[in-house]
Amino acid sequence: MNDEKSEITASGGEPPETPPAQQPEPYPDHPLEKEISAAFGAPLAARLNFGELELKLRPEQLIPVCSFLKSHPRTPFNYLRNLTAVDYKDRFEIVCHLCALSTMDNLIIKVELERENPAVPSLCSVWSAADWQEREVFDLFGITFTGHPDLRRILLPDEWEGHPLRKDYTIEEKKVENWKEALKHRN
Amino acid sequence: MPVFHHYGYVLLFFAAALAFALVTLALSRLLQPRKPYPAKETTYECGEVPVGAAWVQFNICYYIFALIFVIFDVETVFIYPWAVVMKMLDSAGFGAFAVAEMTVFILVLLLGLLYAWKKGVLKWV
Amino acid sequence: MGLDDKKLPPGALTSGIDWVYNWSRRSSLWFMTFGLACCAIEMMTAQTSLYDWERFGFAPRPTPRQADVMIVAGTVTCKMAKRLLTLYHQMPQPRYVIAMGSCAISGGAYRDTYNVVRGVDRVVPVDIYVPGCPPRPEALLNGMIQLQKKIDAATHAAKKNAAG
Repeated sequence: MNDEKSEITASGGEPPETPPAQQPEPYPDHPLEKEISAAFGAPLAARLNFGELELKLRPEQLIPVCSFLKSHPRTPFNYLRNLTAVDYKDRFEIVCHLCALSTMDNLIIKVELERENPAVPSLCSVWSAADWQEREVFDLFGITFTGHPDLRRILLPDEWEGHPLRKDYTIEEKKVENWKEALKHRN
Repeated sequence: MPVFHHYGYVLLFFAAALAFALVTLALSRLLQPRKPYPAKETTYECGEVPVGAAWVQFNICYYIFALIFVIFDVETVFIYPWAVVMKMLDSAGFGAFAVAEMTVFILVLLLGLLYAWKKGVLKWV
Repeated sequence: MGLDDKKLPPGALTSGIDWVYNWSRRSSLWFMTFGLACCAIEMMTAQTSLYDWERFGFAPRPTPRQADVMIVAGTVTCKMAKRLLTLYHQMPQPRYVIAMGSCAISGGAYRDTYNVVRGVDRVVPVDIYVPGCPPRPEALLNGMIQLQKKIDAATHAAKKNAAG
């Protein structure tokens, strides 16, 4: 064990320094954040993520804020780059990456959801690119998007049970039987 | 009738072509393993269950292309015998007339081709 | 009607001309390009002029109706397995299957994921396995040549020949 330590450090034998305590991030001073706070109430959290504004919203704020951002006079966010989800063990989080193509501004929106019966309003009414992205999130995480025109599985076979990207999903041999069952029903 | 025996060659040629097609098909049918079953006889749709009818509307450009081809193919069919007898016509004194006539024929059809071109039917959409 | 008539003892008519059947089948193996993943690139490369396997008679066909051998090149997912089986059924006999790459042989690098079939031989009967990740075009060419040798060894008398 000691040999490994001395190999790692360049100064020869000194224990590695503990990283400095995390400084609390300052609240970002961003014009868009100010406008959104003024119009729709303060977001749950806001920070600068590698120079891009990241907002954590409440589910009911999502559609009004996104409509506002899409039709913003200065930086219209007309491009929904990505809509995905993350499973932290105690909660889900929806992550949206937006882009204003005319000014190449980027913005990140996150929404926290509870783990049982996660539901969030669908962004299809704002950006139609959200359609298949939300279907993928539903397929792999089981998050319901209220107001989605056609919420069904997109990547996995239709008769699949379970949502594989959840942290508590286990691959049992029984799951493999699903496609065998599907083959049995083929005439 | 001695003049008709040339057509005998044509008939022989036709019979040989027919035999060529039929014999190969018959031989294949004799030698092939033939094991049909329902899953094999399903309509091919890239592995999916087929949806919709098989008879769908085609794009009209295919038909128009085929039509234009037929017209110019027939033109070629007319040019071939003209080319064959050209030398004989020239020695008989009709050389200039024959060339002029064929030029007029080709020009008329070329006009038609130009019209089709301008109409945009040759653009393969 | 045909020379595979069941009333005669097996091989009565055809043992002498097995080599004709086998030669004609192995000399013109039209393959259905079932490229699913990265192995498809190597399968395509084998058709390029440097390796050029059309000189052996292998011609790529997009449809199973005109194909003799199906080269499963890539990872087979559960969703794809259903379609793969349908297309296998739509190939006319004699038909062969080559499992190319470790994903088609055993699930490969993705064996432990939720949607991958652990080897295409769970879905269709496989004649030749070509290992590699991906196998080089020469390796796939060798696989096809092994298939040719397998066809050469087939006889009408053996009911379990590869035509089944």
